[in-house]
Amino acid sequence: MKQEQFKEEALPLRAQLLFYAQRLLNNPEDAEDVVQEVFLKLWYMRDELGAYNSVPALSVQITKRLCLNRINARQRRGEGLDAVNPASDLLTPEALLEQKDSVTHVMRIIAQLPALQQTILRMRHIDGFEVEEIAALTGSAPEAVRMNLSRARKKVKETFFKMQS
Amino acid sequence: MTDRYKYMEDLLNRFFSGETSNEEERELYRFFAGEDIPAHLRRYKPVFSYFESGLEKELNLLTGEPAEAAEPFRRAMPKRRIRIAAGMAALALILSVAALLFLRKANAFDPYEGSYIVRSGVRITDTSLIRPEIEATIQKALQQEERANRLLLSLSASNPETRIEQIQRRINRQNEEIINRFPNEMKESIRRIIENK
Repeated sequence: MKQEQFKEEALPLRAQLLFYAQRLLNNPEDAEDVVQEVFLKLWYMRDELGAYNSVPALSVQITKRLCLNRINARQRRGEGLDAVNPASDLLTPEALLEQKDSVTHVMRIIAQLPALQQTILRMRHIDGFEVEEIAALTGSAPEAVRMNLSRARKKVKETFFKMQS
Repeated sequence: MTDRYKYMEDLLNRFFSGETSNEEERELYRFFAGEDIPAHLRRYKPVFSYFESGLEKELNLLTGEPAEAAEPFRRAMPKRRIRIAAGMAALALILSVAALLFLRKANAFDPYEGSYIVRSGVRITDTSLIRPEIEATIQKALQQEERANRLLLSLSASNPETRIEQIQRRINRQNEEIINRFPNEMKESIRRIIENK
């Protein structure tokens, strides 16, 4: 499926998905992130989309799942586990040793990021899309994509700085 | 040279705000791949090496696909299977309830169960044989009861005095019948005994 065709078929669903995500999450920024993620997932599935009976139904299902994931993550954060886990995971001596080992250390950086940020990094650095192109695929404002890209890059930077100290 | 460093610092900041283009990023990679890096920027070297090539290696080592892209696809099938299973379970439930009701009807409670009739010394317990007779008897008993009730009702409907008179008259009539059975010469003495005179 070509980029243009994808935009034509998938993007008209955006308003509806955004409304749905907004209703589930009750937070405009989270809803925007979810919709971005939905379209990026659809983009990576673009060649399999023909196998589904209804792409709108599939998009609604993905949106629902991503929203529920986020609600679960929020609850975990409420318990204070989310904030503690990744940081302490990095700081254990075993983990530091593992990260200094050149083979395993490549494996552990992007895997710690949220799925949306992983996908944006991948599109930006491997598939060579510019921010504006990603924004066009997801129907988002470029600023919204840029924000997630910025967060992802900063997280990677911090991971490296922590390993160096 | 400081101009170049300034420019690189600017690119660096824009990179982490997500504002650089592919072209500018290639410049950054080239700069940090070289040896000519001021001390305060040196710690960025592995970071950009990662963005240039490490990221791709990591993704290839993982799956080559974003981790969750295939998830909804795999989940779609079991869900359909669950629906079919639920449908079958509902059908089984309906059938078993229907069967239960049907069997219940067949074994309906029989109020005459265990009844018998003794005829010429033979005890008949087959309810299908004796049922008509039992029912006829019960009908008769009910009619009897009905008549008794009607009598009581007619008695209670009339006023108490006439009722006592009616009863008295009936007693007298019966007494008369009893007395009449005796020979004429005894009648007077019997009457005196009955009427307690």
